[in-house]
Amino acid sequence: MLVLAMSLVTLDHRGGDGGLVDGLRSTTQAAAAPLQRGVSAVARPIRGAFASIRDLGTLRERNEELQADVTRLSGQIRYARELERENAELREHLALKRSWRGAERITAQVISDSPGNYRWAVVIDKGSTDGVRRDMPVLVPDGLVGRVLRVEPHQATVLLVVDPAAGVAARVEEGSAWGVVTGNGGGRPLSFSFVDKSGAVAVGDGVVTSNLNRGIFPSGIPVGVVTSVEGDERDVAYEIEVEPVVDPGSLNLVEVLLLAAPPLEGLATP
Amino acid sequence: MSVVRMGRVEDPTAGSAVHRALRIAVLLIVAVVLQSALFTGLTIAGVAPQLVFVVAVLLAHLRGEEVGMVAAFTGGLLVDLLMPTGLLGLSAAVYTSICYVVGRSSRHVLPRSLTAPVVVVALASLAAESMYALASVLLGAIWIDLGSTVRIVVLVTVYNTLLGPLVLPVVSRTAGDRPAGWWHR
Repeated sequence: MLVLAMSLVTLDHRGGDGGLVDGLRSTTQAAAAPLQRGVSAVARPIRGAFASIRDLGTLRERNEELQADVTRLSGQIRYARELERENAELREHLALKRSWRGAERITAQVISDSPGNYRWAVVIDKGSTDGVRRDMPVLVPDGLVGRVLRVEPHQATVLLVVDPAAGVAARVEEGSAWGVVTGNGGGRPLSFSFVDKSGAVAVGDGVVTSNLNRGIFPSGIPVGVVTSVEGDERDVAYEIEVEPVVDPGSLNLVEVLLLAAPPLEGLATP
Repeated sequence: MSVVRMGRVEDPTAGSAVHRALRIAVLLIVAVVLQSALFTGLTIAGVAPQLVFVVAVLLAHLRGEEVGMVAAFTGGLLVDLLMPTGLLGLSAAVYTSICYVVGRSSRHVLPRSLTAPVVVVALASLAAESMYALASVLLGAIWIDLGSTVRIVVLVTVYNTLLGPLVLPVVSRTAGDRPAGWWHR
């Protein structure tokens, strides 16, 4: 058995995408999906109750913060509506394509998570028959969740942004600094790396996706908030920690942007 | 009525070996589904327990290395197949190795001890998580930093250890072999 297990490891290690191993994974995940879907539906209240107990300590503080946010955001919404109207007029005038905010999307239910503690991914109940394709961005109203890694006819696997293998081209929302965000696992801040020191970055800055070099993600999807910036004069680049806007442990409904890479953002081709 | 054999109590309701094997197979499938659809939402500091591994270790502890290794390999392979990334067969290899050691060692652990299964689950979890992380790094997997790895290894060990006593009655009943003097006597 040990020899068989090690043979599988070798086979997977040497093989690429779309081989025997991928086929085995797809078949097993498709077979397990109905069971997982059923258990997930039954377990949802239990998971919710557990999350509530877990968050009890910070509930009062978060409530006060949210109250303050509501007051502040109410004013901003009125201002944003006016800007949105103006923006739509200007885009129409300049023949710009839609950004991710106006892109076609499909809502999906999370039916299971990765059963291991060193890989951060979820399985959703929408697949290729619903128009989902590999590398499509997945998000919730708060911001970026991850990207589609593998697609089956009726389900898809989403690699979460907190996974160390999920690199995201990103930039500071209000500035010129850009780099790559990589995950450090659940419950840990993201690393914002390769950020040139010529760009200004401060604690509290928002970090959003960038479509630099025609990346997978359209520009402007919120990724997180800068919580620490380190790097002295001798360093070429900053060492930045970013708190993700999405809690990978509390995902239930997500949206898949039906955008094929490269994204729609940018000037329309004549 | 129970029959004492080799320091263990053979459960007369256990049925044939085939029935026992089927029960264990169902237990493993239930454990895999619960681990992927329920326990991943019951995280503490972002870490979920490894129910399948706990079941396999307890089976190895109660039934010896042969049953333990088959359960570990099957459960580990199912976990690997349901993981979206990561090397296929690595959990199976780690679980099988650990359960072989657990099955062999349990012959020298006092079967009547209430604390033995808990200690076994704790030590086995610590070894398995460390081995999985080390093997992944050596095989060139994209990995988290050392601090995060240590944090996960410790938390999984604690979580699995807490889960062990809750799972033990189900596993022992399914395995049809329980140490004498237990709660359901």
